[in-house]
Amino acid sequence: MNCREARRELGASALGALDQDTARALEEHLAACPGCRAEAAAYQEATTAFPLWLPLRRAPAALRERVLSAVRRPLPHAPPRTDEGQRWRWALAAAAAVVLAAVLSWAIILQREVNDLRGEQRRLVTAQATASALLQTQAEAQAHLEAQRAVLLLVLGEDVSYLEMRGPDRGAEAKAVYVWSRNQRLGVLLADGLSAPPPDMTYEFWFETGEGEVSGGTFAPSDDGAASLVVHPREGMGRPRSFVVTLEPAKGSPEAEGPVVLRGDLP
Amino acid sequence: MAERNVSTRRASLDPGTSAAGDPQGSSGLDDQRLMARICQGDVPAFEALFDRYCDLVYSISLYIVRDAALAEEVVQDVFLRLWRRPDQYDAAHGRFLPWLLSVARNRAIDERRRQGRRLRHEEAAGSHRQLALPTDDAGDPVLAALLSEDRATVRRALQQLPEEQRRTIELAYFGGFTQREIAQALRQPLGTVKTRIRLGMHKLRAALSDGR
Repeated sequence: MNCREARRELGASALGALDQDTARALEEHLAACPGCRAEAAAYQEATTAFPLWLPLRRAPAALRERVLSAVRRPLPHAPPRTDEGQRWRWALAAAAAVVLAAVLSWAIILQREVNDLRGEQRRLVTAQATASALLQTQAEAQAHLEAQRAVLLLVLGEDVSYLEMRGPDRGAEAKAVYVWSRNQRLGVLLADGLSAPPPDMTYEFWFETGEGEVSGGTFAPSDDGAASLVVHPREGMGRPRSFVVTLEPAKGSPEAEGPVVLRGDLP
Repeated sequence: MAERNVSTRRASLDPGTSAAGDPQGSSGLDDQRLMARICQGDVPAFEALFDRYCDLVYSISLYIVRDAALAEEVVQDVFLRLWRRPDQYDAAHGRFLPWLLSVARNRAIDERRRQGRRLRHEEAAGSHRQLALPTDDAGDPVLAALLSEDRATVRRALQQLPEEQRRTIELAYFGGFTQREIAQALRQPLGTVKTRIRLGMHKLRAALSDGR
């Protein structure tokens, strides 16, 4: 993108009205062009006056009391409310706290395993077959650690949500929980009880939306049946109605065609 | 007496301070000093900031989500987030109030999307509701008085725009819609929408920076 092209997009950029590709190209240009950056700042400054466009409305007095009560109260800060949505959010927050405690313990155990594995790897570096197996295990452990860190980020955020996922058959061993934050555009799948996929197959996580399935990534369980996957929901994706795990070809699949292993339906 | 940003005649959002007093003197502090106190857990400082701007945040939220209960949720969420994470505002990146209103706008747009509201053709074409030019308010008379000159500047700037440019900019800013979404809803060519935004924003920028 050159300066002429960039400056044609600055007004829309200040409004947040660019599509992703154009926004990205503009961002790259602005990073390298101080002149266009200054122009961009001027457009951004103009938008700060836009709220003055609106009629000024007085906020209800009860709102002030609710907010200040929450601030004065020790955590959790949210004021008592009686609607079902708030009770559901508190149940999720409590469940997320339980998940966090378990995850922290798991993270400590895994960190030790990773450290142990690193040492073992150095000692066996000349034994190629054994080193390959250990690298695979370390990669799995690192993936689990990444998942734990993501969960920590989520539960420290403000809008964490949590949904249990079950197998289609009653009594199925496989189960999972999907923890996510819409604002952080981040989710983590923590699964257990998964059997090893057949050769050339893998597990794949999907968002089921009104427009179809959107993949969140593939993963494989460790020997004990546990698995984790850090998910970055695609921008512009429709609102999901369900989370699903299916069994797909090893390199993943553009659509969810395989059997459903885990499912969680949003209310 | 409220302090004003008098260094330029540009439309600004710096009413600065409220007129009410309090024993610990929070109400007399500017926004950045209040935020510094809020970072230390100063409740009166938070109260002062809340009282100063809750009506503005409520107004922009109500306009975007179009539901009083949802607007209250947005206000609560924005200010509680500010209380819990005051470090998210960085004074080096700009003034406090534009940042606060940007947070409120984004939160309200997210809430609107969560409610599944899509831009329908009728709404985009303006048959649902038109954005009126700012007139007398039902809100805080003190804040309204503080902002009166700035609002007059914005009013003059808006009056310079053709209706279709003003409407397109309103859809983008308050609706959170992309140019493509607006074009689809208005059943207009994408190039037409882009031109309206480009020309309209160019005029607004010039008018608001000159205070004309």
